[in-house]
Formats: sequence, structure tokens, C-alpha cells
Amino acid sequence: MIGGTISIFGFYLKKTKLLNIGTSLLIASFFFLIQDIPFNYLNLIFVIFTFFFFFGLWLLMKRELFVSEIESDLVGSEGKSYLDEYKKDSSFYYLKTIFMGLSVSIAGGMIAAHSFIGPLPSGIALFINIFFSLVILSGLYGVLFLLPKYFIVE
Amino acid sequence: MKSTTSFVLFAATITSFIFGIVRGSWVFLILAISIFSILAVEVRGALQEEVKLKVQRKSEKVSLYEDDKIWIELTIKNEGKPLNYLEIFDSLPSDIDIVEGSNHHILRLDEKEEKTMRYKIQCARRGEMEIGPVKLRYRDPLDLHVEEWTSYELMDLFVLPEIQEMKGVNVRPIYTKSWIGNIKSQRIGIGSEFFSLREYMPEDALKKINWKATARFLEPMTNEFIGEKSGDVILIVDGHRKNIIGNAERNTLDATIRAAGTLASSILEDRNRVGLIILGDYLRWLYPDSGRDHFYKIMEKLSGVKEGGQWELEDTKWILRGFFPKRSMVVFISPLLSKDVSETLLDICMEEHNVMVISPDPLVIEKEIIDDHSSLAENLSQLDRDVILDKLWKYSVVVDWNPNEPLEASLKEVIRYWKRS
Repeated sequence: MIGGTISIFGFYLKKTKLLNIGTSLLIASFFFLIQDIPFNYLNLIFVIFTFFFFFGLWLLMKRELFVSEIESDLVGSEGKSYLDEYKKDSSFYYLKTIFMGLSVSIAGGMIAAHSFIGPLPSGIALFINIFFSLVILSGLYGVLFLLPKYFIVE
Repeated sequence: MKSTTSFVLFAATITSFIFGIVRGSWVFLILAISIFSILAVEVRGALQEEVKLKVQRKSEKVSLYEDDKIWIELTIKNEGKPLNYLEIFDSLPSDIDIVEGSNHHILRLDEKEEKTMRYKIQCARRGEMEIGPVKLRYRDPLDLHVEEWTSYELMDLFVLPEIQEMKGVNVRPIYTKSWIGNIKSQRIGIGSEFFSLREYMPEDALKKINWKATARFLEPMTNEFIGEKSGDVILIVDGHRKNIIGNAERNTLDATIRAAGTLASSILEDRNRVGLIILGDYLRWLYPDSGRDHFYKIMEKLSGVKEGGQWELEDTKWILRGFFPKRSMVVFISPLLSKDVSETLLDICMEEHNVMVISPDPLVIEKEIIDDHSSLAENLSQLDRDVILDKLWKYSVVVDWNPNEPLEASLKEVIRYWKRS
């Protein structure tokens, strides 16, 4: 609660340091609260997703502070296009980072869990099979149909 | 270069890992894995190649008047690999305000791409300003990798003191020199005003022959004209600390400098030569000259004047004697807060200079900045000032100028009175 309040204060007062401290406190206190939950696949996913949820929120708030800092220096609309471009680029970058971080964490967590708990429940295994098959199929589609269009020499 | 955030995340990974092991908590071990995964994924945010950037700054002009606005253009060309999230900050002095655009941007630059950021600035105070250097910073959106550079692309900008237009009054020296100007001299020469007739001389131009007079006298007669000459005016600007009253926004030094700029513009337009002596933080001077370039030289010197405590009017005597032409008009611009100028001005008069004193009224400025002032003190100060002005009137022309009013009005009144008397 205190961590959350500090980060919200940090965000509204536009103090990046306060936001960082608040978010760190929020994540640490949340993990202290749930440290005794039993170790199973569902809880593992819950823990990882919660962490990335908080991390994503922190990133968004940090970006808003940075954008507002640049916006406060801006008078009129001259040069605003650069900022809009940055907003778009950074959103993609955040999504990509969170998605990749999440994948690596889940993979790492799964390997760790597998050595402790044993094989995955059949539902989750099926979901993972379908997911990876879809990834491979989309990769193939990209290589065979989409990419050649960019290499046509006229 | 790694940022503080990346060190904090790394420390959090280690702490969570140790904590998880010590407490036997899997939650903290997973937290360590998650934070570490972010650090691992973010390796792609680090700069892989050497950054090659070319920065150039341009502006419409290098000098502007107080409160004028100009556009500054900063062009950045990427001569290396594509670069995302490049933060640019063009350093500006605190006296300069941005009225449009921004000096702070974040850009994406592809290979060989060139981008321009523009901003319009305004400066309310005169002075010599330095724009730059340009600070460049790459930082990935997560703020884990940061690289900083500085481009020492500097630009000097002169903010010239504001000048007033003086159309109806001319400050003209009594003594004229040999070169042509607008002042009617006591001699015959080149001019437009008829003076007399004389007998034709073989070297006279045909257009000078007065044909009516020739017919009347039955011998060729030539017109003679009053010679129009120009003279030298030397402006002495008093920037001594003891003669300055006011605050940063409103003070007697700024009023003195504006008067000097206005006079320089008007006197040069009248085809006279103007010299300048500044008694400020340094003793600066410019030998009399004419023309537009000389006007800008004067204005640049005036824009950089700062108060000083070393140089006084007394010190100008040896400069006037040693370096400046004799028989010039000396215009001393000062709020006359110190009483010891009258003797020096008398000495200057003795050396065949005609002297004019222009005094921006310090009481007007003082009343503006002090809310609560006693009328007795005001009356005493006014009395003191009147005594000094009366003393100076004995051997010079004195203009008591209210800095809130145009200089032209005060000058016109005094010059009319002076010519009559």
C-alpha cells in the first residue's frame, strides 16, 4: 500500500526517483506477502505475470514522466512530430521487451519447476504445444510468402 | 555505458536470489529469474556501433534587438548506423526564452538521415549570449543503457539594446571637419544652400554658372554655396557602480545604454562620425567612424556593457587627449549620481570640445522600484540633482531625460532653448 502510494505520488509530482522507490517497495512488499504460497504451475504463472504487470506499469509511468518533461519544454506545435514518433516507437519497444522477458522468465521458471514438481499438467502441455506450433507456422509463412516481396529486383 | 537503473536491477536480482535461498522461498527465486530475464533481453538496447553524428546550427542573424525574436535551426546528420532514441538538448543562457518550438527533443535517425529541429527565441535583456554546446544522449526506453556526448557547436549572439527613432531632432557638433556632411558650416564649399555670386573661374563647372546673373552683369558669374560638413561626436557611457540605481530589470545603466544607442544611430544617419568610450567593467573605446558597420560595432560594444568600479570620467581625459580628434562634440551620458563630474567636464570643454550631458533621471527609476518612499528624501534628492544640472549648464548643454519618455522629446526642447540662447 505504502509503496503504491509513494509511486502514485512520484508520478503526480513528476519525480522519477520517488516513482522508482515506490515501485520497488510495492513489488518487494507484494512478494513478501505471497512468499508462502505453494509451488505449482498455476502459482508460478501468477507470480511471473504479476511481476511483469507491475514492471509494465512502472515502464509506462516512467515514459509518461519523460514525455511530459520534453512536452514541458515544447512551445506550440513545432517539433511535436518527433515526440509522437517516440511515443509510438517506445510503446512497441516496451511490448517487445515485456513479451520477450515474459517468455524467458516462463521458460526459466518452467525448467526450474519441472525439476521440482515433475511433468506439466496435460492442459498446460497441450496449450504450450499449440502455442509453439503456431509460432513455427507463422515463421514459415513469413519466410515463404512475406519476405520474398521485399527482395524483388525490378 | 550502463545506467543506474541497470545496476539497481542487477542488485535486485542478486538480493532476490540470496533472499530466496536463505528463506527457502521459491517466489523470490522466480523474482530473481524474472528480473534477470529483463536484463538479458535488454542487451539488445545497448549501442553496438560507434555513433557518428554531425551537428550544425544556423540562425537568420547573429544580432538582434531586445525583445526581437529569431529562429534557430539545429541540424543533426547521422553518418553511422541507424540510431533510435537520441535525446538532444541545445543549451541556452537563462536570459533567453523560447517562444516557439523546443531546444529539447528525442529523435530517431536512420542511416545518412538528417533531421532539423527549430525553435524561436526571444531575449528581453541586452548582452553577448553564447548558444550551445549541444548535449546528445542515447538512452533506450527502459533507461538501462545510456551514452552521452557533447558537441561544442557554439554560436555567439548579440542582443543589442533597444533604440528609439529620432526623426525630428539632430544632435550636431559645433565644430565641423573637412569631409562632407549635413551640417552647414561657416565656409563656402559643396552644399545645396546658396551663399553668394562671384566671377567665373576657368575650373568652375558649367552647372554652377548663374545664367541670369551672367546676362545682368554681361560677364560669366558663378554661384557659391554654403559648405555642408560633418563633425565628430564622442559618446561617453557612464557605467560606474556608484552611478547605477535599480534592479536587474529596470536600472539607470540600461537607460544610459539605450540613450547611447539611440544617439549613435541618429548621429551616424546624419553623416557624422561617432566615437565611443565606455566606463564599465573595462575601459572600452571606439575611434570615430561612420557607416552601418561602425554602427553595429558600437551596438555590439554597448550590448556587452557591465557595471564596474574602476573607471571614472576623469580617466577619459587622457584618452580624449591622446587618441581622439580635437574639436569634437563630447556627449556624456550619466545619471549624475556623483558630484565630481563637473570639474572634469569643464576640463574637457577647455580642450576645445563642445560638451552635452544627457542624464536619465534616476529618481524616476527609483520611484518605480521602491513602493514606499518618503517625499522629504525625494525632494532632497531632486534638489541635489537640480544643483548639479545647474552647475553643468554653465559650460555644457544638459538634457534632463525621463527614461519613460522618448529621448527625442527631451532633446528637442533643450536644443531649441540652446539655439535660442
